[in-house]
Amino acid sequence: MGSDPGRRRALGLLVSGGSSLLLGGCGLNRWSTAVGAATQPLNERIEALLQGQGPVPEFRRSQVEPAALLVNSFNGTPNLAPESYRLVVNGAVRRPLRLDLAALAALPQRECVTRHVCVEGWAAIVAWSGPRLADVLALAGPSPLGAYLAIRSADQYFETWDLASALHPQTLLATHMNGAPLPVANGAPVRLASPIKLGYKQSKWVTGLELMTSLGDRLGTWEDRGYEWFAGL
Amino acid sequence: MGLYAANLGLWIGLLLHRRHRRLADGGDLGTLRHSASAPRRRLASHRITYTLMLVVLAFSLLSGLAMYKPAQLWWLVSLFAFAEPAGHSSWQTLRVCHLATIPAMALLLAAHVGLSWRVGGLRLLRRMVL
Repeated sequence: MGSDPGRRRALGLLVSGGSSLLLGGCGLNRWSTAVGAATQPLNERIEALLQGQGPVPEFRRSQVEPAALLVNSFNGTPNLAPESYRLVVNGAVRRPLRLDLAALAALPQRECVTRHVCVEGWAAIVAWSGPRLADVLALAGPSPLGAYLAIRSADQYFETWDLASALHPQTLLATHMNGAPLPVANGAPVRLASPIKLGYKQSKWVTGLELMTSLGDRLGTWEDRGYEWFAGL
Repeated sequence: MGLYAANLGLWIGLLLHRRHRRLADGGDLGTLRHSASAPRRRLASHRITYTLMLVVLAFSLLSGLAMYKPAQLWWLVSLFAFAEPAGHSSWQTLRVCHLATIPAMALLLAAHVGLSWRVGGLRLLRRMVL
């Protein structure tokens, strides 16, 4: 029975497979980084295809997990006065805007009960509500050349998104969370919320949106330190 | 990531296909139950250990994909909603199941080494490594 070459081969495969399992964690070398970088455009293409298949299924309001939503901040908690708050929309748009909270509240409001997934591994089901980001951008008359969106926050947090994800029907500029006004720790008065991106893409304390035709030097606060830029779920 | 996942999935699929045929042809489970020959039973249990490793690896790949892209593969995550009546969210169940594959693999590896030890002792173990 030891003379079966097929079995030998299968055993050899298992042994080599097992060693790569053990050493896989050490594989973050230049080669695997190069493979990752080379296949990233393909990954993003596939993700865009999957995300283009309509909205992500939502949860019931009773499934919301308020205690599971942890608070992360890279630079403290800015306190924005609601009466003087303005959301600046500029860049490749016909009508640059400075919107106050009343203007945002006048737009159609949408509630999304979706899972907020952090890159750290935890997740929480949250009911976000507010105007859709797509509706806010449409007010400004976006140029057809716009392909990326830069998002500035009051705490100097910076993010850039691909426009398709920004225009996704479940991507909101949330002003409310779980039916109550957004708490300051969670990004009051306005934050991004979307079921199709990791938590670090969903800026809190948003004060500025800039439509861009191409990405600049800065990709984002964490992305510039090595995090994945697309960060699709 | 997609490339690595596809590569691992392809190998697991091919090997499982092989093992499926072997389990059916050789009847490892039947041997284990009915054979009077101790060496044949040991070989059968050894083969079953390998097969279980493949099953655990396939499970860790699928549960890992569910954790990696929970919005696109929401139906994969929803398979883990079975503990929701007991108050555990599908996400937490998924995390526990996915990370439990690491001790599961360690146990199977220990079984593999133990079985080899019983067959050939230190000499065989040394031969396996070198």
